[in-house]
Amino acid sequence: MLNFKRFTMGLLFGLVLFVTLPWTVQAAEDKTLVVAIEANMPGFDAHVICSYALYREIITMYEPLVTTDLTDADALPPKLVPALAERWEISPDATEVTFHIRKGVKFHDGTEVDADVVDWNFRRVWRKGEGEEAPQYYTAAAGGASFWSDSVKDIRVIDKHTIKVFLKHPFPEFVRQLYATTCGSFFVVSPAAVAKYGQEGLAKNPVGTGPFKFVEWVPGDRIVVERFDGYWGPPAKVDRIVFREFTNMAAMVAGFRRGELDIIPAVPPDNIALLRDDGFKVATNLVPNMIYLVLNLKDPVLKDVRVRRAMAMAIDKETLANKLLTDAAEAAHSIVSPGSPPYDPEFRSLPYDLEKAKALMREAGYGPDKRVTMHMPNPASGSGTIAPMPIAMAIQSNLSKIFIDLKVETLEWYGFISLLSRGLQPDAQILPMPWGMSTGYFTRQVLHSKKQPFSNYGWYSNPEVDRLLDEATSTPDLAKSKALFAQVNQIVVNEDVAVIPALIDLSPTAYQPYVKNFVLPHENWFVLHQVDIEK
Amino acid sequence: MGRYVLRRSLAIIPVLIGVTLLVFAAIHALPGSKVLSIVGFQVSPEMVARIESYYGLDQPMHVQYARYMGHLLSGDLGYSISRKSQVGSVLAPAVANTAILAGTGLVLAVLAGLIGGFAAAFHAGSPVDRGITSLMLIVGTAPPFWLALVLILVLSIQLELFPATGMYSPRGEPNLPDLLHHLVLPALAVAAQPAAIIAKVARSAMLEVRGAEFVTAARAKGLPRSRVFSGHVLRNVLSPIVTITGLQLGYLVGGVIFVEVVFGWPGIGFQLFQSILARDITLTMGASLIIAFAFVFVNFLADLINALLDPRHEVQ
Amino acid sequence: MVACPPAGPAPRHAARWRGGRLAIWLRRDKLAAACLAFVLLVILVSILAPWISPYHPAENDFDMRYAGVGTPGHWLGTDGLGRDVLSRLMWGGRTSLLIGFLPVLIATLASVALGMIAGYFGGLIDDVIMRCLDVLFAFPMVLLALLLVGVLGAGVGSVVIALAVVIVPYISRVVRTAVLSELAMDYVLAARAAGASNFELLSRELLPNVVPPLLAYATVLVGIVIVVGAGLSYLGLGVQPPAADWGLMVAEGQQVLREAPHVTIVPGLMIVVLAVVFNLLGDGIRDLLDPRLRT
Repeated sequence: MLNFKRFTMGLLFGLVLFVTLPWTVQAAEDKTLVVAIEANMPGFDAHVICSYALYREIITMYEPLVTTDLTDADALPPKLVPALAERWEISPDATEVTFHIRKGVKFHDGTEVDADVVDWNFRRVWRKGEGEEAPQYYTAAAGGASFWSDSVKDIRVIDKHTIKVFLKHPFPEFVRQLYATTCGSFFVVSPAAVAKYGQEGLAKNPVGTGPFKFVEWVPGDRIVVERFDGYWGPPAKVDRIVFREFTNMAAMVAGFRRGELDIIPAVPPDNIALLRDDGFKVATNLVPNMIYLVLNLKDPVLKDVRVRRAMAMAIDKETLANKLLTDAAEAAHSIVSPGSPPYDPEFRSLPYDLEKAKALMREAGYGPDKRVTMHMPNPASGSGTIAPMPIAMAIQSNLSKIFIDLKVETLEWYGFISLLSRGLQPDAQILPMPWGMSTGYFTRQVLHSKKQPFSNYGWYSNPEVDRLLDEATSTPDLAKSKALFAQVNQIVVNEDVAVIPALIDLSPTAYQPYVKNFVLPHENWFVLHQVDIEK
Repeated sequence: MGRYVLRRSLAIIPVLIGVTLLVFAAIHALPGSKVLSIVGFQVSPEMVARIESYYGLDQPMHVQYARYMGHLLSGDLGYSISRKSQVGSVLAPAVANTAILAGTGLVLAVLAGLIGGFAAAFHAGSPVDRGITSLMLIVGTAPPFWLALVLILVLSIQLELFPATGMYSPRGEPNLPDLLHHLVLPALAVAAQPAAIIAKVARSAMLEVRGAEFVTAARAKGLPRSRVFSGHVLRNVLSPIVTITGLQLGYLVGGVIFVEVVFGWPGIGFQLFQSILARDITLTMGASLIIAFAFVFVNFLADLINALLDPRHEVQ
Repeated sequence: MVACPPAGPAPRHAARWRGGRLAIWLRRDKLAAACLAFVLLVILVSILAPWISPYHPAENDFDMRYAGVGTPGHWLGTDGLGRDVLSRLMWGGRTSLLIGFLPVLIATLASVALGMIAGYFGGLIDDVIMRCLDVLFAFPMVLLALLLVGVLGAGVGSVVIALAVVIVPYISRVVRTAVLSELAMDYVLAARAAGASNFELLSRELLPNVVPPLLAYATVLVGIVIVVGAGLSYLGLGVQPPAADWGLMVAEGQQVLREAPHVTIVPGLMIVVLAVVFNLLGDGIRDLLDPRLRT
């Protein structure tokens, strides 16, 4: 017999039950750390990954020859410490590096690490010359690795635990660069795994030597790693780490507030103070990553240095950093990455001067009746970006005051980085690059004329700067290197205005109060083997 | 009846083919070189070659289409660049997730719609009726993404009752109570528009039937109110409601896409959106085809159920 | 669809708008009158936005970020860049209304042509047209719109075209049904007997009887199209920043739903209100033309 009232009461009762049931959920027993990653995870082949966000995950499973001590938040730059190489020597002229491979190290699949394995790995991403590729040479990985591998002349295995790298030119930062490239960093992967799963299979079945080993990957959702008990070094403190993929920052913060996430990177600037007020911890630190605007020097309008100088003086970096991105960024002045040895915090770029900027534009033939349109591709989100949309809006507003109408083209991350391989095309005048490394060599790669368009996207070519860069990256004398880079800064940023450094990333990372030993170092990523949970 | 089924089944085949043509044409009209635009500098020539051979991108259009249809008929949806795996394996779990969300949403919509519609009809003309009708109007025309955000604001952020995103908690193993907890808000958001329409139809169907002659006749015969309801009223009311519920699938699917994006629910709508952003051709095509095909099939089923319930509707 | 398409034909041969009839209707159906007034107000404010909005919609003010509702000088608050919400709402009306009206207008023109040709000539032409429309019907509106915008590229123009294409099948079907029932009427047979050509029949006899019932349907569709268009803008596929658009504003405010909910809620409310108003207005127009359909 159908009774309307009874039916509704029954339904309401059912709904109440439905809603209260979830409160019976039991928490997991072992120590699991849940960390957010602010980018898509397209796989875990250490030679192919290309973002800081992924790097944080990769370094739990893989190791390089030499790493840096990221448990020290103050060291600037972080100190080099042995990893798979228990010691190394650099020849006095910095053209030869000898690595002594640690004995007794095993991959997660049980196979051993020795000099031949390291050699195999090198040859997966490097070839001596065209046509001299090893069978395991993998083009997808070689592209990124060429950042440093172009400098390698030869590699020779000396004995079972010694391998020597011969460089084409003096390269004092070579050892650090191997590790810090991010997109093409040199890790040691298991040749047996590549033999078993194929070149592309390694991305889905990662096998390294790190303190954690791969458990499972749910594409678009999570990757789970657990402590590797056969690790050669001190064991990790937590039992497992779950890395969750988030492209929606608001969702990430919401999940963190609910206690569903333990550590979240790239906290949106507006949330930093609010999270701190609510008792959460938010760490910030000066990191190598910076936002700098690359200018298309082949563009007819931008060929005029007055226009470029006007743009540099019209962008109000201080206000942008202090008011819009409070706590999340600082104004950047130098094209030398913060956190790299030759970085000089005292260097200043052209000061903000709207009137002077307008005057320069008028001189160049522009004015309220003769405005110019420029295009800027902008990533909506992605590894290394801070708050790309508001920043783009702020720049647009700044430039519109000096008669430039900036059209912002929003792309998602994947589309954005695929633009880079060909350099800036005629349809784009400005490129907001989120990049930086803890080496001075980075600056050489983005400005040297030989690096067009591989990492020099704006087609900058200045023989004087080339010479200075080559010298600055070849001299083992840090003071000399610093002085040379100072000259580079002066020419590139203030005279030629080939790039406009805008912001330095402070990498705001939030973590729960019960997360212990978390360290945010002067680097674009952090380590987790020392992190513990105390509930 | 059997002939009707056969006729209708045959009729949808050209529609399905037309769907594949449209999706194929749309995807291939995408501006820029498809391979270059989706491929970063990290992709090997082997992978590029694989994409090109899958499409036969250098071949004329009809050959490419034939090739695609061939793959499709053998169940191969292609390889997704952005996910580095087969499209099928990426989308299969997504379909399941959407089914959970859409199914729950539909159930909630039918329940809420029936209750609301009948309650309004029983109290026709009163403030209760006007209140329910106004509420349904607002909920039915509001954009689903906005409704979702309002639900999040009130029930998740301010009252802290439910999580705001995802299908499961990032922590711990997926389990049923966790799923249900995450399901409430998105299901409500998805159910909103269909519920409003079902309520409207239920209300008017109810009003029509109540005044109808056979009801008066049955009451006059002395049948108790409940027998009148279940025996006569319900059967006549059911038909237009089922019809309209079938039509709600369009809203359901549209709503689901937005709700999945707002809540980050890993269903097929979410995948479609991500694939469009990533300019991943094969994934976009796969997701579009699955959604369109599912839509056609479920409409077809609704038609059949309808014909079953009321033979008068068979004649078109 | 939300609205039940009109069933019967108009009660007379040549339907004519008479000012008197309109006035009677507005006086009787107060709700419809209010809706019409609201729509006209919104249109007026949007057109006049460049002159009456208190601030420029792209004017950043980093000192006034996330001001709440009721802040002096910013009555509806500000967003993350310090831009005035009220001004952006006014300017946003221009794109949102454009995205609402233009596709319906284009689609109606196209559908009237298609539906009349299909219904009038019948046979193979009818079959072909209806099969093509069936394929479009096979797609949920949102999916088709997404695909089309994905192909055409993000932007207002693409959204307008995509939405127009999406609703053409619905309007065409209604037109065709109307034509089919009109064809059986006496006045058509009479005109045919009098020797009228196809074109004369279509344009002079059928058209005026087919269009008026469409008005109610089209009005409701405007509301629906505004909502779907806002959805596309929300997903980032419509108007590009820093342009103001209600859907885009909802998306921009999501990040701070906790701290400054007004940034998301207010533009969303605008969309809801407008959609409801168009829905009610459509109902009112339908009641005007055929009170028998009133529920």
